[in-house]
Amino acid sequence: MNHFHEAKPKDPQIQEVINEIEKFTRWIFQHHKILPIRASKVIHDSVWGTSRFEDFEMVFINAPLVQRLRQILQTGNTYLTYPSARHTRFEHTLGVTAQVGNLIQSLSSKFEYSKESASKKHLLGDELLRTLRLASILHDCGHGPLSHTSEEIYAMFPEIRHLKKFDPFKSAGAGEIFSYLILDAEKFREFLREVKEKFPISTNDELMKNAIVGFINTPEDHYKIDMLHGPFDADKIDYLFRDGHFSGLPLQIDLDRFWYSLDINLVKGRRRLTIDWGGVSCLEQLLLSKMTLYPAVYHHHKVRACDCMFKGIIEYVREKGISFQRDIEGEKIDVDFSRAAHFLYFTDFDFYDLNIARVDENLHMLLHNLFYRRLLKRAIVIARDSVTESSIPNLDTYAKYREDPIINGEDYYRSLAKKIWEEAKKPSLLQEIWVDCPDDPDFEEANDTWISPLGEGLGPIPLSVFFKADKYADQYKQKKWRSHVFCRPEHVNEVAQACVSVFKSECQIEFQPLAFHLCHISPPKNL
Amino acid sequence: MPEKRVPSDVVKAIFHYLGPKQRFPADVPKIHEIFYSICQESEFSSLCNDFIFDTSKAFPYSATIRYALDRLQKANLLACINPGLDEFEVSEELARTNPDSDIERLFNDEEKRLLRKASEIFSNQIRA
Repeated sequence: MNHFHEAKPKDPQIQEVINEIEKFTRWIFQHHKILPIRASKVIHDSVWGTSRFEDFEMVFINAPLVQRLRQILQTGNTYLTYPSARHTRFEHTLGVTAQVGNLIQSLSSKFEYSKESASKKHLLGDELLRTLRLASILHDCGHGPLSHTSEEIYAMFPEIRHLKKFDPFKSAGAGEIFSYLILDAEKFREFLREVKEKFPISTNDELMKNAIVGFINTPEDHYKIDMLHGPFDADKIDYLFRDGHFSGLPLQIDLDRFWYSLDINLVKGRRRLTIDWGGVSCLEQLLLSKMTLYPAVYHHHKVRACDCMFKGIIEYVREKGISFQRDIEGEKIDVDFSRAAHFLYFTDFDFYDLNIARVDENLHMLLHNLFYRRLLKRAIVIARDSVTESSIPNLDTYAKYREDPIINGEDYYRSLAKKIWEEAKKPSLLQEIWVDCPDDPDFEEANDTWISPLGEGLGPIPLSVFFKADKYADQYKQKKWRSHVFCRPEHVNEVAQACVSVFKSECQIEFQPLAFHLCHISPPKNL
Repeated sequence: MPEKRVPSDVVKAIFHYLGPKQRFPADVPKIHEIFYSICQESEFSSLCNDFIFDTSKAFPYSATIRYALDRLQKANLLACINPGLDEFEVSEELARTNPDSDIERLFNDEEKRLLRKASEIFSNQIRA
């Protein structure tokens, strides 16, 4: 019993999540009516310029399920570090849709005009184009407030960890799992049926859901999933360009050349999206762009500090049992972040609105500090170059709990933070001290990227033959990965001192002065 | 602080039993494939209970293997060898038999026997 559809009749945990998603979907669609659409629409975007969206696509784009993405920032709190990073999941959604369209159109042109590729024409077609464009429009509908910032919290909830034991969710992100389940919900299917009655379109709805979670149902269809969830998919192309552009880090990727280089080939019995020899440098540019964005944006210490402040607010709300009501067709439900699906009821706007209610003074202060950028600061850096030589092997035990941080019902890193808080004589709220041990960036695509055959009778070649991107990624993880302890700026010295004692006793990790110099503070006396 | 076993501890233990300075190809898809085949053996099912493999991908992929490679490389317990970067090397620290080590604490004698056997299988298959 490997697929969740087979498991759900006998699995109460799965049923509970499905019920919650059904409720959310009813909530988001409760006042929605399909308005008349006269024609396709042209939408302008600061990254890609002008793109056309079909009339039936506009019905989905206009639905509240997608419109709510206007209120969710693509890179969460990054705007507090890079002020112009205010782009939203909505813009990204439109961008991915345009790019998946470009990707399929490029392949169509190639198969149309090249004699040796003419036999591949049947691999594309209108249904695939429509299905993948629709999948792109809907792929992020399962995101919660501040995108991956909240996802990092609910991904650890037991119900999500349970779902990940089943196909098609084994390699999916928590937000992608929610997107899939929303598309699977009765209310959404009813909406889809209604759209299909109004517009004579044909889509493969199973493929649409699988493309969102990256599940490959048959090896023959692998290239279709590659287009939205592969080593160089439309999602990645959009977020790399968009995040780089709005963060002010313009990245160089020769996309024109890239489109011409795409192909579809058999790789180890699977039909895969491949790239011609001439496009290898474009792939390198894509991977290097991702490697640039991680330390500069996604893992920037201030961005991580903001993420911890968000987590502190959610932890405080949960600990105090504060709840917020939502009205679903007359039925009131309490949203208190005790379940992963509760995050769906919030956008960034709703999250910051919590401040207006002023239900609790501490909550008000925690929100105020994030909103007005009174950020937590680093008290210590935990990394290969900041610990003593003899402590480096002990980073293994420290980092291993990223895989499963819950020990006896407590989060390992929160327990460590609590010990530091106690050792520092509780200088602030516990929710203002965080041990942040980020996951390594995912460069798995470097192991599964294929170059089209160089001639007849020859097979496809892995990218690693030309460029050891996977090993470069390993080096990145070893040398650039950093973990931090964050606290209020006025408490950095006592917290730094507490860190020295707690890391020595609990993790057998001792530090070099660099651990503090990197935080712009003097090493504590007990170092 | 209390200690617990996470799935990637099994991968760490299998590498530990390869022995000091032992090298093996840094072929990540093949490493996933071998662990998948080991976990398919009923003999090792108790060790592999918490491994989740996505078999829909080009190779059976488990996040546990990724976590293991990341944490071991970060701690210098497993290193990619220059100049080719084509091989991993088990460090002396990882291979050291120490009564206080986490491998001794986290696995019982029967499990350690199985881990040694799995390590032999891994060693043979990765070079095949």
